[in-house]
Amino acid sequence: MSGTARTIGGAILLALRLATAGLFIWAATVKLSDPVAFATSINGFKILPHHHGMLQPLAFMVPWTELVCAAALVVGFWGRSAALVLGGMLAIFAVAVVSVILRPDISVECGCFGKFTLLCPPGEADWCNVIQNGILIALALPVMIWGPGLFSWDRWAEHRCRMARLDDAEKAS
Amino acid sequence: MSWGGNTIARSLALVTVATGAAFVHWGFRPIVTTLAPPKQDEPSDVKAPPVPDSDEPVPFNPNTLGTEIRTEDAYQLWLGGMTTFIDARPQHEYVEGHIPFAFLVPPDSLADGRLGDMMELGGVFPETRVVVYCEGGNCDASHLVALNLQDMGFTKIHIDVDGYPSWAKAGYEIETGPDAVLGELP
Repeated sequence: MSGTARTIGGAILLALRLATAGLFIWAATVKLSDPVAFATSINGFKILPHHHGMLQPLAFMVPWTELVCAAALVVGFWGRSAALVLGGMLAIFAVAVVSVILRPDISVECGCFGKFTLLCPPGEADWCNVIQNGILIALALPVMIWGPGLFSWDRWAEHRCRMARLDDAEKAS
Repeated sequence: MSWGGNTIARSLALVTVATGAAFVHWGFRPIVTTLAPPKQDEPSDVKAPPVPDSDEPVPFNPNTLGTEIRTEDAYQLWLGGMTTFIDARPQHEYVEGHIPFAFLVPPDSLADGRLGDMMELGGVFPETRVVVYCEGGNCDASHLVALNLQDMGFTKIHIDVDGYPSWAKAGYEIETGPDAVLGELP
């Protein structure tokens, strides 16, 4: 790959990383600012077993995972892993929404972005939320496949390692 | 860099860090503690509750109660007759047995405006003293409902932390069947 192509690829990956991270930082902040609403939302999905006692820890764990992985994506630190976690979470959310759609006795709002919405109109979780999650997974997918790209901590660390190895090899010879 | 065990291990490390942060956050600011202590009644509002079947009257003052109360105190409030009880358990458990006159408001029904229905149909106002209960133990439902009540302006909220099993075990009055006022959940 030429230098120009690598730079353009890196810029695209950086844009995707920042877009994905921005969305998740927003989502996490909204959830952490009102953990009660998010806990109520999780409970509405009726996925957790009864008497589990996990509702409150989950109401904090989900947004904190979003926040930590989004921060990692911004700087490109363990970028592929961060994108993988966020993609996995989106897939789990999508499955949860599908399970609600398939159970007509349940009506619950997505709660993905607190009281705000991204692409879907406010109201009950439906196929629009599944498609929305698919689009967000598509945003994170290139980083999962190709890594965080040129403009990232990972690439800088890799470069430093390579240079150190070359120095060692030179000294040894 | 390529896909492999390294990526998975790093993913797990990120989740572990996030989980640690979440538990620290939860430990410092659990949802339960965001519930304000119940507001005291105005002096004229305080009434001595009737204490039947007792030789010596036991002084009971609702104003001394904190947010989390035991079943004995909940029973005293119930006897006083000025308190609204809210059952935050699933409907099928409510139908099998509940505290008499308690409204059925499981957390799943909050999004459907069940609390609004309770205020409208049940004539319950934010000034009302309320006791919320679920199964006791680890159940979060009563706290969730209580927090939603607080958001609606209720200021005298108690949570019976022992829950319905303790009430039933103590031999206090119970009734069965669906919610007579709000009806069954959709």
